[in-house]
Amino acid sequence: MSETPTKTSEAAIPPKHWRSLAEWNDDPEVRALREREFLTPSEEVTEIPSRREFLKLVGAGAAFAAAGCARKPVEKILPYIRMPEEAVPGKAVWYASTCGECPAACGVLVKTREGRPIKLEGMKEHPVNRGGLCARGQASLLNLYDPDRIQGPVAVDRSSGAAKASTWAAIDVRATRALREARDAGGRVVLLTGTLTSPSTRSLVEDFLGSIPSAAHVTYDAVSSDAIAKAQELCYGERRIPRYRLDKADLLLTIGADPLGTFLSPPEFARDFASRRHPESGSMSRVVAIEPILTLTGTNADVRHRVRPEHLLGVVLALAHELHVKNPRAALAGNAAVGVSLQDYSSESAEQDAGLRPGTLTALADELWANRGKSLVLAGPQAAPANHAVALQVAVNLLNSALGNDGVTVDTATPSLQAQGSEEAVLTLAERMRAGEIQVLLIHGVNPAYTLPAALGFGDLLKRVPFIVSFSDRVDETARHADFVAPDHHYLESWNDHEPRRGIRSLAQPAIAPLYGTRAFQDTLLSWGRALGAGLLAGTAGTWHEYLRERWRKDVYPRSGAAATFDLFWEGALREGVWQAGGQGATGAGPGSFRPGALGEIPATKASPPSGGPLSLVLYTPVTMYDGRSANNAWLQELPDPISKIDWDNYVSIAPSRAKELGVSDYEMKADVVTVDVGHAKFDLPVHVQPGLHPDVIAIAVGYGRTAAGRIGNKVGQNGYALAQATAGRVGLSGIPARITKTGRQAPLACVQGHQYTEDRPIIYETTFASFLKDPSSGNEAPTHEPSMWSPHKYTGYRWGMAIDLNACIGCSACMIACQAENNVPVVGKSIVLRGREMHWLRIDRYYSGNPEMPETVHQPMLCQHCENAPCETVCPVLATVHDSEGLNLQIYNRCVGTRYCSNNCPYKVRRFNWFDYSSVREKSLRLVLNPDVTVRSKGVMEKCTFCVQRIRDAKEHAKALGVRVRDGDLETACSQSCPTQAITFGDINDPKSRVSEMQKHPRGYHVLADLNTRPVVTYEVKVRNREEVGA
Amino acid sequence: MSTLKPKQIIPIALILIVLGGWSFFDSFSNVGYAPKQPVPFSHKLHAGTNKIPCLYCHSNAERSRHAMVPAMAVCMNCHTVVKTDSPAIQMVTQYYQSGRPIPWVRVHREPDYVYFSHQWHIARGFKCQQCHGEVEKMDVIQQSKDLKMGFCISCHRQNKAPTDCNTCHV
Repeated sequence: MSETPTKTSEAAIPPKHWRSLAEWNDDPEVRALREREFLTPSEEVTEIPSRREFLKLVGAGAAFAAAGCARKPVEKILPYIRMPEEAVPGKAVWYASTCGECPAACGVLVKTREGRPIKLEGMKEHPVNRGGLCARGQASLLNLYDPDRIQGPVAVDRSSGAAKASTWAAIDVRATRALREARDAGGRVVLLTGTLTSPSTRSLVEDFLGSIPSAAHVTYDAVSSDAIAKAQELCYGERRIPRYRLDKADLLLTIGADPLGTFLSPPEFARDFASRRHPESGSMSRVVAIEPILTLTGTNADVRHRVRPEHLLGVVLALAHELHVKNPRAALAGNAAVGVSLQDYSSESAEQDAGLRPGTLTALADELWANRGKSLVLAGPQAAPANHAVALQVAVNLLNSALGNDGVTVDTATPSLQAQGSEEAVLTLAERMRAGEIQVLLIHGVNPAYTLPAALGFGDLLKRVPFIVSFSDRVDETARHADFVAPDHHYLESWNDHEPRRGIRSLAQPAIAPLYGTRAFQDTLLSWGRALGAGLLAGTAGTWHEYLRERWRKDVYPRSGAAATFDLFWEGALREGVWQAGGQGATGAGPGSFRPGALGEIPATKASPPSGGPLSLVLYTPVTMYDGRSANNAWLQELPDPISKIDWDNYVSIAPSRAKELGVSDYEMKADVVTVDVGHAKFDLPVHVQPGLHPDVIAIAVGYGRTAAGRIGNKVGQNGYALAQATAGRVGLSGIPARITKTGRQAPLACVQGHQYTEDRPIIYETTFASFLKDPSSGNEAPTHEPSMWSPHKYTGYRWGMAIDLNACIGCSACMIACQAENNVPVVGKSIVLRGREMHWLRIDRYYSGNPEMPETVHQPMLCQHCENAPCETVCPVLATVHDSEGLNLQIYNRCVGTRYCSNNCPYKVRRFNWFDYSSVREKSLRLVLNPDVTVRSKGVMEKCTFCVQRIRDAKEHAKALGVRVRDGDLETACSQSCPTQAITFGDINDPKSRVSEMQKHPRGYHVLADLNTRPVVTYEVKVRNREEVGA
Repeated sequence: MSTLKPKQIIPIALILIVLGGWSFFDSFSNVGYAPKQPVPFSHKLHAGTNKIPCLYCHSNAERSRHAMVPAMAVCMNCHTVVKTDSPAIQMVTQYYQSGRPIPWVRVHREPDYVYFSHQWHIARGFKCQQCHGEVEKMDVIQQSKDLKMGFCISCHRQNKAPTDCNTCHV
């Protein structure tokens, strides 16, 4: 950020904010492209029809006349036999539940219509997410209806992987026989799962495995936080993941961690982060990111430094050195062990190694010290090379302890239970499998044959296990090696409970009866445990649902102090969805003091800095695909990555300077394909030139390259996990030595950020916190509106408006999926996105500013601005887009004839045209997810954001039934509801006291392209960065 | 035999297209559409002679956009004792006991892009007959109004109801 922009091409001054490198470089080809509305020409008719063609048209007319005599298709009405009590067809029924997409376990409300879940919304009362829900959580709804789910138990031919339908009875017989044989012969039985946040499921697993003496439960997470737990054990004597309090941190230092993107509990962290980013409150947290790649957190950092993964440990130790040795201030400053461990790590040498400007770390250490007790150092558990991962966490623990953050921002009293996996355990399991020691392997919720490093050959190791059952919902890469697949329900079909953090119990209840012949994993364990005839489950009866209730009767009910009967308590808990222990924090242990002995993890001598030689490969977890578990989810595949803005692919990211050196194109449509070689594995991928990446680092997203995900997810990109390392009991995803070579081929990447240029118009305004304090309108240079030649609209009732705080928007893209689910927005696929014809009504534009090597980033949600003087309205020849009496700009589908004039005339480029009948290719099961309140658009029709007009209508009807006006806060659009940071506010701007009216009056508020006099009803708030002015 | 010249074809083609298009779109109105129903249910007998209120069976009309064909359990409220010797009732009982719904043929239908809520029209005090005709006089249910946009709009105008496009098109 401190580097001054340099530019090599002789073209005009680069735009202040830019969206792609091609734009920054003013690539002539791209310039030519952006002068057209559409990236590819539409099929144009160049000749008038010949006589023969004309006769054909006449024939069509005659056919029309004939068809006119026929009745419309005869439809049937099938009534209920007995109508369920709670069902009112046409009205939504909501269920409180818990998201099961990842172990963060956010609270959700499931909206069902006529018995079908059609939308997930974050639960406001839930202590984890408090209203927001991430993109993956929202999209997990689509997995329920995934047509590639297996529809019942399956027997797999282990030699060929071919699957054949089986029965539950057959699986039960075979599995219990195998378990009994293993038990009697003393063979090992292992249950391999991902993190089980459900205390009741964990207890059931204990009961089940307890009856087999040689049984073990191995927990493994592909997105692992194991290094943190391990380091906590070394430093404080207890294996745990603390609860990180971003809301209490005045200064947040992230070391390759991405709490806003994928680390541990993103909606929780995002909410906490945003709570400290309101400049109007007079204080603002400051975020410093030190990272090899540009993470979502990095894009939101005030100050960012690029450091390659191998140097992260040195940087953290140098900060500790500053506090303990150079300028001894911390409590352990006099400790001999600490002194010895740190002696080699002075900030000068670390700065030199890491390529930081001299003095950077000293200043940072001073700043941390000044914020002691209210700062937080957070390092990514997989950010450093495998041999450093634990040492990095130990060093971070030392820093946090030295700064007195323990118990404040590092809360160990109510630790997180969202990541319980152990890398050591799964690698030990692999060794045991290699030695042929595992008799029976049961696999639930993980896909190790895909997510473990290819070098480990987990697929081959599975062949050495005599009996395997997978509980996967499809015959995935791991299940393909199993004897049977016993599919678990989707989480929306299941009972469960979750404990994301000590003291919180979150219930999950079925929102729909199971669609297929699946069976709850827990019911399967119960039935096998009973059939084994010994142990705790023998002789018991009842379903998993009853088991769960019993656990709550024994565990939770007595602690609740409820005066009511258990049945009433249970009903209440189901209705609320979550139960919290009173007096939070009373249950857990205190942080304990730092044990200097843990510093033994730190390499005694500093490793020689890698230089020249190979590049450093970072395999990162992307916001959209996570670990690839939902790769068959088309919403997620089409969701552009929040940073690269590329969808339907993974790619090798390299820094601009490195790209220049290699001579690869920075234009995504013509991406050069390179071979990435890490020695033990290699593959080809296109290159994406990523500003902000460290020049010695290349980055590849994991989660792609699935081979057995289904029709959507298969063969999309390459599997990054194949390049991972497994060394010394750890899985390494960072700092892998890699070489890349050009193949000479090119492959286009579907980058939506190249579409729809802004012609250098001022669209983003930003300022610094210091300037804001002096003048709240600083940085807001937006032009004011000119007088209009149109007479103004009159709004006597409501007038809907929106405010979007650029300071709160972190770019997580949750709103995009929320919008897609709410409004039946179709998925179009890579080839159509490549033509610039994606359909998202709401997009998030990502702008860079400054030097391409170290740019700053702004995320800007862009949707229909519902302009007062809407340019689209004046050009529509058939009045299909008109203004209504509440300020909405309407799009009337049945009137639209598809001239596309409106899109042409829209300065915000938010209108989307249906080039094809996208709904006709929907699989039958995927039609169940459609919102019946929103028209499914057909071919040849323009569509765009409606401000969720169906939700407005619902709210108005609800208010009308009560005889009141819609109250502020009762009405939210899908995007504003889903936003984890509450960046979007929606409401009635005719009500001067509404939140949105207050926001629109802020001195930070501006309208995008106000000089066009469109008078948008969406107000953006200037981005405020908490850093010094550049050049100051 | 005289052949038609291209110039002569054009007006004929235009007429054909106009006529074809007109009859095509007109076919959506369906006034008088009275398909044969699987069970010969008579609204005349139930609503007319026996004066059962519409909302007794179509109770959902008060609380939702859909009026709904009643659940079969509603038929059985009476017909477990009333007229159990009639072959039609025996048919209904058979459907009910075997757990199969009667496949009624739909008569009134608005396109998917139209939002119409029974709830608010009932709340405003409109009679069902205003749109559905004199159902209580129909032995076989049939459509009596065209239920096209003009029909909706003229009534909305008369009653000063909103005529914003998104009142009905969402």
